[in-house]
Amino acid sequence: MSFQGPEEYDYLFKIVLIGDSGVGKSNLLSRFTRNEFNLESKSTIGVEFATRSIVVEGKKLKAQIWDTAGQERFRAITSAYYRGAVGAMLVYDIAKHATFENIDRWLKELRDHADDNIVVLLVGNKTDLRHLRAVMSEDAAEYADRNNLIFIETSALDSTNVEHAFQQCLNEVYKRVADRHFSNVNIGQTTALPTTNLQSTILEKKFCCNS
Amino acid sequence: MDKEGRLTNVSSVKMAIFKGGIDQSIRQEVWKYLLGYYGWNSTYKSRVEDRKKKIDDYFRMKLQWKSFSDEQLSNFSALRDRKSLAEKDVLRTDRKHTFFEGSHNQNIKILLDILLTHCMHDFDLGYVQGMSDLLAPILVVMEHEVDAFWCFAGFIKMLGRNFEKDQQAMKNQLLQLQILLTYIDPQLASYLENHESLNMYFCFRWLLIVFKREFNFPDIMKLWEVLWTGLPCKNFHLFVCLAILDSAKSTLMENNFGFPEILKYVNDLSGNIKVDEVLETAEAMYMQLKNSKNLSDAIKKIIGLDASNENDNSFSSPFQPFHPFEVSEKVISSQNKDVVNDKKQTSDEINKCRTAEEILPSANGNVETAFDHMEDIRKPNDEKLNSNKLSECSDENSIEIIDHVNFCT
Repeated sequence: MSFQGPEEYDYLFKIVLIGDSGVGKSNLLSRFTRNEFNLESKSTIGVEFATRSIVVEGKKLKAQIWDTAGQERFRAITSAYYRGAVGAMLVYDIAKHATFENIDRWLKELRDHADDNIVVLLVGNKTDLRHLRAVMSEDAAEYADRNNLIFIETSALDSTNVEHAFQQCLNEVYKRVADRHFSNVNIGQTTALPTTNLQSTILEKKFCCNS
Repeated sequence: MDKEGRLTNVSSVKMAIFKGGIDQSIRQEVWKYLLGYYGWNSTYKSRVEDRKKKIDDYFRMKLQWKSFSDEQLSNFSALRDRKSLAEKDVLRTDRKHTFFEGSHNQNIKILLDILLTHCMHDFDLGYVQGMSDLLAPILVVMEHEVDAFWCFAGFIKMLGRNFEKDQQAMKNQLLQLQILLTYIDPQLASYLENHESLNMYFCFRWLLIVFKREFNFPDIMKLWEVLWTGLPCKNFHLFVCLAILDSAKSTLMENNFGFPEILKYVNDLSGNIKVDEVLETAEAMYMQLKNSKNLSDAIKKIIGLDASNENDNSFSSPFQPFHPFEVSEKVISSQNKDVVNDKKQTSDEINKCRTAEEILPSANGNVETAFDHMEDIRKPNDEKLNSNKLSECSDENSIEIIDHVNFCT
């Protein structure tokens, strides 16, 4: 096992992936961070995460993306992982209507546990299964509009829009940070990560020892 | 065994398993005892009767969910949701293992059938993610749908609380782990506390599915059977956690890892942990702790040394699996408590293990010192099992289903 050496970045943003089991959260993560897709990837037990950095308006943003187990039962433990998240991707499977119906529940979960200013994307995944589509784009778009979410459809399998979805999420987070939506941004060399509120987790750094 | 087929020295058998695991050639039979399929006091006759009843019970329960029409299912969301979840999970459970690889693999279907039948067996618990992981190695070992089901049911009985809705058992274990770590390795505990990680959340996966994702098949089989013996103490699986953390400690601290990095490091240990080393360290840690003076009541309770356990003799008791969370569990006896720190008694145990060798000829009974053990006695190729066998079994079972249907109608 090897570890990355010191890495420079300007901001560290924590993004959480949530949604029903089997909608493709882990594959969205692996597609974005490693450009990998695995049809038989194991179910996520507990929490996993991966990182990738992108540049927005000349600033290097490091996205720390957390992937959680989909089954509702594990919420009792995973809800702690919402702490410090500045962005969330609410994922459903366009070929399984029930996963879209449950978005309401996930949204409530976010509202209960995450910061009020969190950027939320509604992500309809698996657009490659177009012949099995069960959730109309218009319905999802309307839902997103009603709930003030950014809506996008993706396919982790054929890569459609995956990059774009994460970019959009990070852009919006950055915009809110730049507009000072998140006050008291912690500036400095601290390596402390998620504490009790959002403000302390948007770390503005020039240099960090951790990968 | 005596003339009726009753095991005569259960404690030695368990000790031999604890010391060296079980050879693949007899694993299928021994797991049935460890997982409560057969009672430790069972006889040839009772085992035949038990098995017959188990087969009948299994197909009765299987028929219950199999006979739901689509219309019924559409009005039965509790079962429908479980079915849908289990269907998703079996398709992504150990597909790289030869037993489950390839499209249209019949063993995947058998995994699903067992999981759904277990839903009928324990409907309150239902299907929870992680269960398919626990079942896969059992099915590989049992090579038989019904036998695998009952062994799986025994395993879930031990661990069921891990999967309960309130997740209280998981929280308790994380807390117990924190208490043990703080006593055994205050330096690491203090480091974790200063890095907002003393909640031990990064050990969640280890505990939920008993390290299943951390080891390859031969190693997880060995680790599980050691834990199933209930030796050397209650909650020994927590010492396994501590042993893994001990090996990771220098990396975590030297790199000044915070919670996310610790989580990532711990997740990435999967496939890189040596089971024998971990078991050796875990036992050493347990003995070190046990010999410490002034153990707090909380610690005594965690490892089963509290007053309520003083007079038990687990070695002679029947099926004595590890119950991670049950306070009332009685694991270590006053007699056995002395074994690990008394030379004379240690040599008694060596003798016991030699006796066990006669029962389990392939088990490693060469216990030179309390720390000198855990030799790998498995065959090297036990991952390459004959996947055709189960298909034969399933054919046989389908006949049994038909018989049962005829009987029911």
